[in-house]
Order: sequence, then C-alpha cells, then structure tokens
Amino acid sequence: MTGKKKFHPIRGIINVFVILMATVSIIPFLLMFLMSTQNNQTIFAGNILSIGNSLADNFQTILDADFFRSLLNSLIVAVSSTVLTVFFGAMAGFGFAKYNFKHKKLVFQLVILTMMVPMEVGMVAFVWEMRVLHLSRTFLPLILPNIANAFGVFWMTQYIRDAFPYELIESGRLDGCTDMGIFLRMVLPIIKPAIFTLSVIAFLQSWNNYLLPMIMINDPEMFTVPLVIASIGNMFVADYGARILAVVVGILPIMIVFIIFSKQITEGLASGAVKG
Amino acid sequence: MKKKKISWPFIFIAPFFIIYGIFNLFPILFSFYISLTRWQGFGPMKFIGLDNYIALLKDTAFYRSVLNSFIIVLEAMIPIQTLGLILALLINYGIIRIGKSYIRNAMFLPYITAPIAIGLIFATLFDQNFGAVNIFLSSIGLIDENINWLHTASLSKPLVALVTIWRYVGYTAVIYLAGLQGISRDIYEAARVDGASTPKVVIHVIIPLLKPILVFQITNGIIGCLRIFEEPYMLFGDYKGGVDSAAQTMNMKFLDTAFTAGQSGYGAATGYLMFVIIMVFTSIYFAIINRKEDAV
Repeated sequence: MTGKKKFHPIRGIINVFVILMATVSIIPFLLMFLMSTQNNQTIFAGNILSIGNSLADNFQTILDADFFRSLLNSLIVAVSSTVLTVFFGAMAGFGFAKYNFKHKKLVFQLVILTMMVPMEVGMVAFVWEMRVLHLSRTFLPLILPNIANAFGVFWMTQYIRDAFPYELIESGRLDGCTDMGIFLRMVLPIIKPAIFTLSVIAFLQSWNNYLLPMIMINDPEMFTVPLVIASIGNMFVADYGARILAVVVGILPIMIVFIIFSKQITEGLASGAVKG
Repeated sequence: MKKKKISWPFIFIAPFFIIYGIFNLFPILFSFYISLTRWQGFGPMKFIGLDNYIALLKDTAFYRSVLNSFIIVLEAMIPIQTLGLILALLINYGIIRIGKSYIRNAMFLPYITAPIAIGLIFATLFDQNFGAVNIFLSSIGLIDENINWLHTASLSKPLVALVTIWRYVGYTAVIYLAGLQGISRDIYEAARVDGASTPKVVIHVIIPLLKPILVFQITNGIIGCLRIFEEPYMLFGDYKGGVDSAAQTMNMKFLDTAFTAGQSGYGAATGYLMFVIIMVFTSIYFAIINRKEDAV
C-alpha cells in the first residue's frame, strides 16, 4: 500500500540520518577491532584508523596469559545456567499454562514480583551462605541463583499456553503417560522455538554477568570473561593492543551468536517485554 | 478423580520456588538481619539494632550517590525513550525504507555486549592521550588541547549517561517497534482518512494505545538505570566514581561498602535502602498496571 508513494527528499534525508545513527552504535566495536591489531607505538601515535600488523603478537600475549581458560570457565558457567534455567522455566511454565489450581493468579504474580527484586539486596548474605555450604570454591554460586529465572517462567507460560493444546495432555494420559512423561516427551519437543530463544537470552545474561563472579571468585584460574576484562589492566600492564584483543575475543562469541540469530533474539526479547 | 495423589502443578512449579527460596529469598532476608549487626564479613555478628540505618541516613556520601543515580537516570532516560520511540515510529510508518535490518541489528549490538566490556571500550575511546574521541575532535579542529574526559568531575555523569544512551536506544526502539506492530494498521489508516495529520494521529491515537509498553519501558528503564555500576566502574577505575565521586551511583556505593571496605553490616543496610528506593518505582508500575486491569 505504501510501496508506491512518491519519493520525499525529507524522508530520504531522515533515512540516511538514521542509518548514520545506527553506525554510531557499531563504530566503537570497529575501532576496537582495529586497535586489537595494533601495538603500543601505533596506538600512542594516534593512528587509530590503521590496521596494524601486531594481531599475531597480541594473540600470543593473551594466549600466554592463559586468557582462554576464562573463555572455557565462562562457557561452563553459561551452558550449565542455560540448561537448568530453560528446564525449570519450561516446567513451571507448563504448570502455569495448563493446570488450574487455587490462588494460581497470586502465585504467578509472585513469580513476576521476584523479577523486580534486585539481586544486590541479598548479596552480603549470599556470600556468607555459599561459604557455609562450602560452595565458595566452585562455579555453583554463579549458576544456582540464576536458575530461578522469572522471565523464563513468564516467557514459557505464554508460549505453552498458545502452542500446546490441552487435548494432547488428555491423549498422553490415555496412553498411560504420567504428567511428567507428557512434559518430557510431548511438551519439550513442541516448544523447541521457545526453548531456543530462552536459551540464547539465558546464555547472554550468564556470559555478561559481572556481579556474581566479582563477589564470589577469587582464584584467577576460575575467572570468567567479565572478571578478566575488569582486571585486564593488571594482566597486560603495558600492552594496550593485547588488552583490547582480549576484550574483542571476550565479546565476540556473543556477537557471532547474535549476528546468526538476530531475528529470534530481538523478536524474543521484544515480545517478552511487550507482553509484560 | 478429585482425590488425586500427585499434585502435578505443584511438582512442576515448586522447583522454581524452592531454588528461589534457597538461593535468592533466604539471602535477601538474612541480609536484612546482617544489616542490623556490626560485621566484618567474617567472625561474629554483633546485633546493634538500627544503628547502621541511622548512620546511613547521616552519611552524605550515600545521599550524593542517590542524587548521582537520579541525575544519571534523567540524563539518560529522556534521550533513550524519546529517540527509541521516534526511531520505532519512523520504521513502523514507512519513513525508513532502506537498511531496516541493518539499523535494527547495529543498534541492538551494544545491548547484548557485556557492560563491563562496554565500560572498558569507552574508557579507551575517551582516554586523554590516545583515545579516539580526542583524536577525532582535534583532527577536525574542534579542540586545541586534549580533553581529560575521565578525570573531570563535571563530565563524569554526562559520560555515564552517554554510554547508557548508546547502549539502550536500539533496544528501546526494538521494543517500541514490537508494540507498534501489535497495533492494527487500520486504526492508523482510519484516523488518517478522517483527515488527521500523521503527527496528530501519533500523539492522540497511537501513543495512548502504546501506554502499557511505555509505562513498562520507563519504569523498567529507571530501575535498570538506578542499578548501573559496571560502566562507571570501568570508566573511572574504582567504586568511588571518579573525581569528587561525581559519578558514584547508589549501586557503587553499596558495592564499595559491602565488599571492598569490609563493613558488611553497613553495606547490607545500604543495599536495603537501595532496594526500598527501587521498590518505590516497582510499586508505581504495579499500581498503574493493576488500575488498568480493573478498568477492563
């Protein structure tokens, strides 16, 4: 309908302006990519727009500093968080979407309420609790508090309500399945798209989290990527190119995931916020 | 059928509350107890009643951090929401036709990047000696001498706001766009046929329809903005918030007392007051949302 309207010069100018604005969003990243190929001399000389020839050297520097261990640590933490978040989120979502029970609305509002309580409030006691439970020297403190993810429950409830017909539960029961069997064998396969979107979001949150590792992890061998980025000044004291390369390598996995799945991620996050 | 042995909804939903109870709710409640004690983070806790709160209410640094947070909220939220909404309107109503997916993806990229990395990136860009910003400004002749962005008190808060705006405009636009797409095009067309100009339709018809999302976005944005700490931490190098603590946010003040200075009781009290301030906004949100539900 709007496709054949005549060309407005003002619209064209606005369009170009917004494209430039969007470019401002990625310029800092592009500059970081360039800096990661440079050495101190190039950086201090102010040749920011040149591609340096120190990428290999910088790579060797962060390799020697055992930077890639932090990538592995982050991966372990993020994958475990994601799997557990999605599983328990889907389970609670199924419970809310397909069953009726007393005070259901109230219980659901309680879930939403947990979303509004900032994690910081409990941090002082959380550190103490983890020490008492002897979990301080493990990755569990970085994983466990994230599993009770209210957004995940909310998201799954919405999706399962629409995507999974009640008749399927009935037919499953007639076939002799328990409700848990129905959940594992029938619900989970049907809600794959929701599982995927929530997985990406949960992975992102865990990968980018700095607060929990900052207060829980002291051992450099257990540092996750954000911790390494935060202490990068001590790691590569006088080597700015290597510093920036470490940051680039740390944020690249998320960027690649985003570039591949941008449509699902933006739409998933947006619909979550819009329905809320 | 009525006497079911297994309560399935309970089994499905209970794990969420059990995990939340052990790893989130218990620490929150126990932190309140800690806030009533004098405690170094280890050793015995000495119960002192409300002393921490009384001390906190006399702590000018705490008030400053609250004020700093609110100034950053104002400086960041107004541009974020306005620009985000305008962008979404421009895309949804066909003004922007070229490069739509480029715009969406490019502007979303900052949102998915770790805040701690964003802080470091901007600290690098705004470095006095080799930062790209100074190099750019002097190359186009706008400045003669390099600006010391990161160590000038009057620039600290605007800088944090700038980084926040850069991070959230695209995300906000995407959310508003999803909201706009949920509004039937017929409403817009009908108002246009009635002779209303496009800006009038937007202000009088579209924005009121968008109100639930606007309210959610604004309260959620304020809450998120009040909790900022990673970007200023990386920009200025510590939890004090740079020169004159000009950019020490509430959350930084909390983290500074609770985990750096070893005054855990006092820190826990700071956390609780921060929580109370944030809950004010949460309850405003719930009040508006529930009023809407009653009306329907």
